[in-house]
Amino acid sequence: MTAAFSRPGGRGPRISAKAIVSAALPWVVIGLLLWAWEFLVGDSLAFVLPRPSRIIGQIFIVFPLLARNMGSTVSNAVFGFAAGSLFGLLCAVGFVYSATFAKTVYPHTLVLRSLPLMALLPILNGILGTGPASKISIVALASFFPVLVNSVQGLTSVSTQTVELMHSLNATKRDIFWKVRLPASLPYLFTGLKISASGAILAAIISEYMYAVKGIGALIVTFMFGARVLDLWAAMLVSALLSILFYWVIRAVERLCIPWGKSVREA
Amino acid sequence: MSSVVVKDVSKAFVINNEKFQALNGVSFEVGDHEIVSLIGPSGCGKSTLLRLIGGLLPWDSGEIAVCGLAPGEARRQQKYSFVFQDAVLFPWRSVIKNVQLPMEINGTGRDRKEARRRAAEMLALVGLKGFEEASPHQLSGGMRHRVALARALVLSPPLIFMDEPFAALDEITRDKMNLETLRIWSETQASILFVTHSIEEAVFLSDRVLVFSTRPGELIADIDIDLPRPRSLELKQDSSCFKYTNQIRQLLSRSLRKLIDDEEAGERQAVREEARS
Repeated sequence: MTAAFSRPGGRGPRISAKAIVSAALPWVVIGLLLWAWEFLVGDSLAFVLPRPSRIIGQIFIVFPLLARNMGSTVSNAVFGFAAGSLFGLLCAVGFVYSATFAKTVYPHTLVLRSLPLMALLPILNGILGTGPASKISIVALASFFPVLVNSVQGLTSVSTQTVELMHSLNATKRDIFWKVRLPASLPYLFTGLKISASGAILAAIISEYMYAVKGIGALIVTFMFGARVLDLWAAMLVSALLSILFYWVIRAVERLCIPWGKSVREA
Repeated sequence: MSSVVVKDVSKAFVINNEKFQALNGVSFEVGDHEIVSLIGPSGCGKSTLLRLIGGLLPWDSGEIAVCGLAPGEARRQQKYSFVFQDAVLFPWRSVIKNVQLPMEINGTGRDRKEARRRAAEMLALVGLKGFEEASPHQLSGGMRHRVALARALVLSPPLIFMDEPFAALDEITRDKMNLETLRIWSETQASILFVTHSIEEAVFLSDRVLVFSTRPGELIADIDIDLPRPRSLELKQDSSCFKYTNQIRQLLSRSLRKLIDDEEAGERQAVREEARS
């Protein structure tokens, strides 16, 4: 919570000390950790845990290599995320409108979620070839479930009174869907999208562990077998940053799409 | 012509294979430009009755006519509108867009300029001029209910059904909304059918109060409220008002007493049967 106080007769609002502390706290903690890592751990565990300054230095060295491989990873992640989310949303709509469809299919989606992606890789490669299709499918599979579950909840979050109001106004099923259910589900949908977005880059990297010549995942495998610890850390950090970036993009879209949601959260 | 005719209407629900008589042989009429309140203990089926009249639920036996039509047909011809306990505003729409919703659904909203003008007029009627572009969550509870009222009025229906509309508001806001309801009603031609838990509210607003008993829901009294209009809040402290509130309270407690006696008798019966077996 950030609280702004305005003192009687003072010159406008002032930011309280408490607000500054709470905003600074996470950075202080991470700063302390990095400091301890850099100066207390030092080079004593360099073969697994190189110093932060060396990792950051290494990022600049391998960045051109990472950048050349980033494109396919990001595009697989984005397309897979889009396909999986869209499919999740469509399935959710199907479940909400057909009890039979929900009863026969919904339980099996959990199985889909529980499959180890690594084991699926060779199978999907066998079916779809070693091109991007198989990799996009892996990401789609990972993105599908969070969006599905949250959308189902969102689409059914409409109160009985709301449905009665719409019926009393002679609304058709289509009216109720477009004017009520879909907008009401947006905050839930975006919760699912944010979970999927942060997982999409990871899934894309996993999909490149095998049968891939480019991509950050393929690079990680090369680094791993070459025991290039510094490069591995650099790749790890860059993938984490990519995931966070993707999450932030979706969050920005969320704020644009549901201005009311933000205010509800703050209220 | 009466705006609502209810003749010998019964309705039962089946919950867990057990039949539950919600309404039993209810008959009454609502005249033109009349305010009629339905009052009774919770579970007496008064909200159910409103939904039967509104064509939102089917009933078992008896006859219902709304403006001379079957309830479903009256709904299709938009002879009535509903106001619920919750204001049911959509947070993704501005206040004026919420009021325009009924026109969007029935297609009259295609003339956007006219729809907007009409919605703004209704907002002015409920005292919310200047709040057209506000977001529902920026409004207080009372203001949200004003928006719900404006939305209910926007198609000028001859009938408005209000299902405990002010039950969630604080006492002071509720008094204010009661006054507003009367003012708005006097400026329209509509009849109001009003479901409430509050005896005082029922007496203050109504031309007639219909008192219901519970299990089964039966109409036990149809009381004419012979108080002058226009009414002001002072009326709530007047002895003429107490006469009615006391009468209704007695009727309700008598029906409650009977309910408790019946239940106790039922329990004694069950104990006896158990002892016998």
